[in-house]
Amino acid sequence: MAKGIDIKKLCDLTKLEIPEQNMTEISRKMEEVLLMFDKLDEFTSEGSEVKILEDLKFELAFENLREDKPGPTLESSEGLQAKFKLKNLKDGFILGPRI
Amino acid sequence: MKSLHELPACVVSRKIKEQEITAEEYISTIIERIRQVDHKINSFISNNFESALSKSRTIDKKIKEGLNTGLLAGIPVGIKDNISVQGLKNTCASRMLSEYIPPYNATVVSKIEAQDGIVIGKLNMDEFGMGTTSEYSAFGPVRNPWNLGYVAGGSSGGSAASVASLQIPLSLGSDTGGSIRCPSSFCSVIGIKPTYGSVSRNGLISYSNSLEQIGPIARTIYDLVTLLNVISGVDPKDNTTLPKNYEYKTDHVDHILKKKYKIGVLNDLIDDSETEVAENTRKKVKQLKDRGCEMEDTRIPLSNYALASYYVIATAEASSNLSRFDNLRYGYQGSPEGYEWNSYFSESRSKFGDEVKLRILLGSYVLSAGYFGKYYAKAQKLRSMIKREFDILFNKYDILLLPTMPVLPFRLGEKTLQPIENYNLDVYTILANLAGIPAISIPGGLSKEGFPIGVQLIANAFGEQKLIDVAVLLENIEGFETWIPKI
Repeated sequence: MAKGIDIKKLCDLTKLEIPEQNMTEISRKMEEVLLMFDKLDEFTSEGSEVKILEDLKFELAFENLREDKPGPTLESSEGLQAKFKLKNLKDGFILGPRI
Repeated sequence: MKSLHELPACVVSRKIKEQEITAEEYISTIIERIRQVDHKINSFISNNFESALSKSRTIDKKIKEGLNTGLLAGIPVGIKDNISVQGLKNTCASRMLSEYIPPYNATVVSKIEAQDGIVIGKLNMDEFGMGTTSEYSAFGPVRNPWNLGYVAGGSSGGSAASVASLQIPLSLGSDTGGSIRCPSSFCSVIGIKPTYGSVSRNGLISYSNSLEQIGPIARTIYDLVTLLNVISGVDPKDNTTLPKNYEYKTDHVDHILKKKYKIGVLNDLIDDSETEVAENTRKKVKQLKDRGCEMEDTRIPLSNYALASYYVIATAEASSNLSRFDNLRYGYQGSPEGYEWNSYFSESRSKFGDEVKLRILLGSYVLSAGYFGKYYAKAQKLRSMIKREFDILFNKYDILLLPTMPVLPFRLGEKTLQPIENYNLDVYTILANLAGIPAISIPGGLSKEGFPIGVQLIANAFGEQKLIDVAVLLENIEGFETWIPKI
């Protein structure tokens, strides 16, 4: 399961830059750790007094998470602007550099 | 006669209040000690000497005027560099935050200052608390005071090493998966991870907020309890804290013995440890049995899955918590001019260290749509089951006993290349974090080659007093506060 991770895509999603020469090393480490995570598949409650995994009641079922819909944008305020280091602000928005 | 820097904080504080010595004299001695020793240990990232001296004079003035002073009058406290102190850099031992100066105090820091404690400096650590050796620091590794070629443990390595090397009597660390207890064990000091929700995390830079907790480190249980009393309590700025009576005390040995504690011994974990660690832990079991504690073998069957569960949750939370570091709101000096927006974020975040990047990637992976059920949901269910196992055990026992670390301290650089080798070292400490319960590491002895060995005690939620009681017993048996490394 851990094989064939698209590290470049993950880097893109997490906004991380990994130098090309380090890609092999980071892939190897990720695969190693994910193999350890795969131990969760071997789970058995044998020997434990807590018997059945499904017994556990969660306030929110993981399978029924709400859809990831965007909500209304927060109104901008002077207080929010003051938190940014950039001075390049207009109407509560940050002005990006020209490309 | 002992030098001032060798004395426990409770003794020094009394001397200051009784005007045998001044707080200024004491702080000057401490500063001198840090200057003499820390270049060998590397436990401090930044210091606060001028402000500390100024505060010590204020305390001396209060005492001379007959005003009341707090529990920590004139006592220097080192703060791990992920806990905010207003006006002092809070780097998290990362290049990413190398210039960040918090505009406010963490609640625990305000509480220390309210009791006339003095912040003496910020302490070295693994970057963002991610490590077990304090080698993953942008400011260089912390060295073990017992042998400078060996690791001090982590991630609060600076907090433990500075106390062990008699630079300061007290420090604060944070514990996400053993980050207070591991270095306490490797450096032969006492460190406690309090119950989740008993100490405010407001002002702590989060790595994994459902697991971590701020806690004190000291050379004696008497000092530790003083600082624990100061920092514990409900905080409106941290809604995970609980209002309770947090007045811990160090009882007399005779009173403790009358309580007839029933202690569960996790023998399978003792057997899985290095020989000297196992032998030493069994010696503690015998000592407590000889003092009238009821000792019984037990086990935590699900502990085999705890490591995977812990690292899935910790990395998932890390990927979320560290996404805020975009170098706009926090960070180092840098201009986005000339960059496309996404490139600027990625470029600025390249200053994270390799281990931090690895954990962010892992966290994002386990949270991704295709793998959420396979990893994260399962890890959370297991966490709940482990908590239930502890509930069952604490119906039978007051306390559980096991080694703090399965190994002795090892050479710097010995285990940095293989992540799994490092992660496996946390196997005995993560249990308390997953369950949110308190655990303490107490010096248990020294190996034949002179390396410290720690013994760990775990109690049910808000059972810190039981841990303190047994720590008092062990301190009285061994007198471990007198074990001092030669530097």
